[in-house]
Amino acid sequence: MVCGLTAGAWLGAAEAPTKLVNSGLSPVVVSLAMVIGVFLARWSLPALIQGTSYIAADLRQAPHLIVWAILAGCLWAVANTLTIFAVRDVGLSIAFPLWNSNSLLGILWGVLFFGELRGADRRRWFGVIGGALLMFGGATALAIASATQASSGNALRGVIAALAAGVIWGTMYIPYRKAYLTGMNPLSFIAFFTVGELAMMSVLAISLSGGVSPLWHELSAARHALFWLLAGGVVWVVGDLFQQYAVKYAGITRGIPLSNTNQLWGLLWGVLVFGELRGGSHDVLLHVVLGSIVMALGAGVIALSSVSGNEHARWRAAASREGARYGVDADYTSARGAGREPDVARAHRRSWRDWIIVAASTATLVAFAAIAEPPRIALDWGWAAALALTTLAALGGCAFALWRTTRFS
Amino acid sequence: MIGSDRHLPDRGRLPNGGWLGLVLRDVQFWVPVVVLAAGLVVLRWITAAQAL
Repeated sequence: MVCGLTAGAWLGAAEAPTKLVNSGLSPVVVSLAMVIGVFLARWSLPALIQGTSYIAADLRQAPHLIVWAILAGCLWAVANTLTIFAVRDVGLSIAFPLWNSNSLLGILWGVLFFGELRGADRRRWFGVIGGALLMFGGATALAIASATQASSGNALRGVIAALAAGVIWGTMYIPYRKAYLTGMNPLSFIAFFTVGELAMMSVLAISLSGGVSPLWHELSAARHALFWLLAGGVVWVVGDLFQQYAVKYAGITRGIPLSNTNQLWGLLWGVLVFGELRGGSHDVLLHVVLGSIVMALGAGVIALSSVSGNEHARWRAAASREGARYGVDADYTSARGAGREPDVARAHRRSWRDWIIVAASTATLVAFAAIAEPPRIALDWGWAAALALTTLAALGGCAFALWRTTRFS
Repeated sequence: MIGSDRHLPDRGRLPNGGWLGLVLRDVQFWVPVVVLAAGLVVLRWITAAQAL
């Protein structure tokens, strides 16, 4: 549960750099640069925390999950590109709750495919379904507000882009759950997830830019802003990592709504730091604030519907079926499901490879930071610092709790 | 659960085609694949509409 809430804070903070789209950058360049930042972080963080030999041992146990991880990465890249268009057309504070409808679809897939909520009592069913309906109500209020806030020509396109991103992200949780029921460590999953992410994003960027040469020209022209987007990608990875742990230990039906509190953080960044909704009518502001509160209440109700013993038994049965289907060692699956390290994954140390990965990623970020210019849009730096400190405090607390209980298993 | 309990192999013994064949025969695999294809179509539509 703590992982889900921390994920919300970091995923919300990571969307702030997409506001740079309004300063004239192409959505494709924004998305590609973020994915490159994501790629750097998705290899350096696992290398730093567990080491690449740990990841290799994990993959030997369940090699089929490489395909699922790459597929999930492709889904993420397409959804992320759609969100860039959505933010540009209807604004961050409106687009966020629309694509956060992904949790509704995630709940559906969790129940249909992985036995989540099976064996749960009526109170828990009511909590999850009622919470989902509250979130839908909140999203609807925000969509109504978008019709008056955004320019009429692009509002429909922006809403469709945001909803499509929500459907894609909601479906992306199928590979997530598949991997974690089998027993894979989130750090191993994201290392291959990002291969699909970068490959798909590169294909999209080349295709949408009209070829390699025009894309390179666009990237070169944007080089002074690239650091902020790379940093946005790194921040996203931190949030996504906690989201992965939330899905692993709380399931899709609880973990995703909790991490979707990023909508509230997005609203805070949009309104307090970027001055969104300034000059909006009283009715628009009321819709946005009430819609956000209702959505957050829905997420809270879902979070309080904790997993019962009966439901846990269904999860274990689903995990056992996954293991049997793909011939995965039963001890590995059950140990990882309980947050313990199986014998096959023990005694792996970081090697020189891990330090090279970390050093290369850090050097790349420092190089882009050296040529970066401050974004040319109005920011409230006081609020930006306050929100940044709050998210850092959440990171420290959650990482400590996760290390103490699971050793990042 | 949909697509999760059909044609299960014995533990430790994979059928012809190995784990890739198992993935391709898993109904759950094709749901994200179809959604990915649909997402690409929507993205194409949005970028085409923007170009007009």
